[in-house]
Amino acid sequence: MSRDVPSDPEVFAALRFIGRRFEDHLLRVEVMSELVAYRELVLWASRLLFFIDNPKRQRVRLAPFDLVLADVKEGSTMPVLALVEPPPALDGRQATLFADEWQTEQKQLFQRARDELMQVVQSGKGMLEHAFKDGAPEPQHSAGLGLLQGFQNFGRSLLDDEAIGLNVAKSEVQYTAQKGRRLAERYVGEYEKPTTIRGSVRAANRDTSTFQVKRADGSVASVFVPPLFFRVGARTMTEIADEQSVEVEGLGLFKNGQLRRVQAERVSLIPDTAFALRETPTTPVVEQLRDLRALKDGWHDGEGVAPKPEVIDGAADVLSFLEETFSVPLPFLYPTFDGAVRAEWSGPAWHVVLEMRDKDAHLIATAFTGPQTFERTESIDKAGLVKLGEELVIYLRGMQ
Amino acid sequence: MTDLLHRQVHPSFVRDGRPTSQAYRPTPKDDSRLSVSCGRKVDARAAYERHIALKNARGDALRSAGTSSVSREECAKEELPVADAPTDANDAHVVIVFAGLSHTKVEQRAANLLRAALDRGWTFQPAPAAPAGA
Repeated sequence: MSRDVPSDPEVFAALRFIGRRFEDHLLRVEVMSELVAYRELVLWASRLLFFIDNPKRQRVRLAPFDLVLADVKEGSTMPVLALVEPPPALDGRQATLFADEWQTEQKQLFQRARDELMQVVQSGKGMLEHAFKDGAPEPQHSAGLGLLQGFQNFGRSLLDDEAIGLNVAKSEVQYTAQKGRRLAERYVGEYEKPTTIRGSVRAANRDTSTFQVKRADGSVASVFVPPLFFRVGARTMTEIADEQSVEVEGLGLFKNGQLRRVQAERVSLIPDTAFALRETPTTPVVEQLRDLRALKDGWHDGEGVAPKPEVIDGAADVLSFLEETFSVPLPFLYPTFDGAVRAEWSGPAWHVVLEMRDKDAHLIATAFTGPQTFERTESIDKAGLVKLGEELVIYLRGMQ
Repeated sequence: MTDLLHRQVHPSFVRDGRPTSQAYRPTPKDDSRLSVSCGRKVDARAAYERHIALKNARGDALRSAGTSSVSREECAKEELPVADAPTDANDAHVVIVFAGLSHTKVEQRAANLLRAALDRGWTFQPAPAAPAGA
């Protein structure tokens, strides 16, 4: 039995994908999951609204919610969604059960939920405040948790600088994954985020498919590995042994801004091989820095700014941290024309440069064969240096 | 004479005998053109001697720790054009053109040229100065 979208369907909402990836007006299939996530959001918002309207009710029965793709506008980056009446069940019962409700209360409930979602995205307030206020009935609270989970799933395919414009009746509010995380953090103090961590394994437990990862900054995160993962992946839990260095990609749970747990989607073993550099200096860092300290402005045939003492002191601290924390080998140090201290390493596959200035350090890794390059700037603080150190280790070992 | 392109490396750009990849990257004043000497016209020693005979704006002689060299083929592999640019002071002056490349790509090309130069080894280094009183 075929069902046609009406020729002039009532538009429910349109999602506009915003970001560099969409400037060519092509809608990547990987972001289509956002349409499913949006539908789930509307359903959770509908449940929550129902319990707010009916505080004594313990259950809600929603009519089938058929959201269909009615059109695609703005090139191909703005799917237009329409709500269509539920199909009759094969035996006709479902149509009878919901026919009248659909035309009135349920349809209005979905539309109110859609509008309330706009308000939540715009202000962070609205129905979520009801769900998490003191004394909120349990069904409201549970529906609020469901809505927050819906926000965690919505926007998951977006990159950091991308957004989804929720369009309803000529109004648009822009949603980002960061906004969803802020909502969760505000109401329950924790949020989920795609995460990659590196560190050494502690307390691997094959029975529970869990282990802990101690990171370079000393923090420890629990990793849960879904059993099916090991059947799909090439690895087995038996390979995850204490002290093994690993990289874990997955969904991180953050509480009060700290990573607490990662549900792994990929686990890579990092071979504990020595750094295989093509050349290594014989002069210790202290002496190399002493030479840089002796430079005067105009050190390069009348040109070149001499590195300031505080830049050299900062570079000494950075290199000391990288050596102590990551066992990063001794680099060759040079001045740059603009007064930075430049460390260089030539690994087996990559040339790696770290330029250290007043407050930040800039990492550039370039492949000797192939076009690959990598750049990252971090502030010179513990968190920034840990990120730089983790990357340095990868490139110096030629693991990319 | 050879098909090499000779680059003079400032002493501050050398550590434990290894030049920085900055030696193979144009400086801000170079307008994306890296100065080298044509090996078809001068050898590595002559390129060095011509360089240290030049003076900067303050009247000081230019400094060099020695000659490091890459081939035209190695430049072509990095898709870097090479153009003759003779001057009154140096008829062997040639430039390797980095124009139109992003900062990261400049770094990558420079690193790869340095790699080739390091594999070749210094093509000329002056004898160390004799200790005073020797």
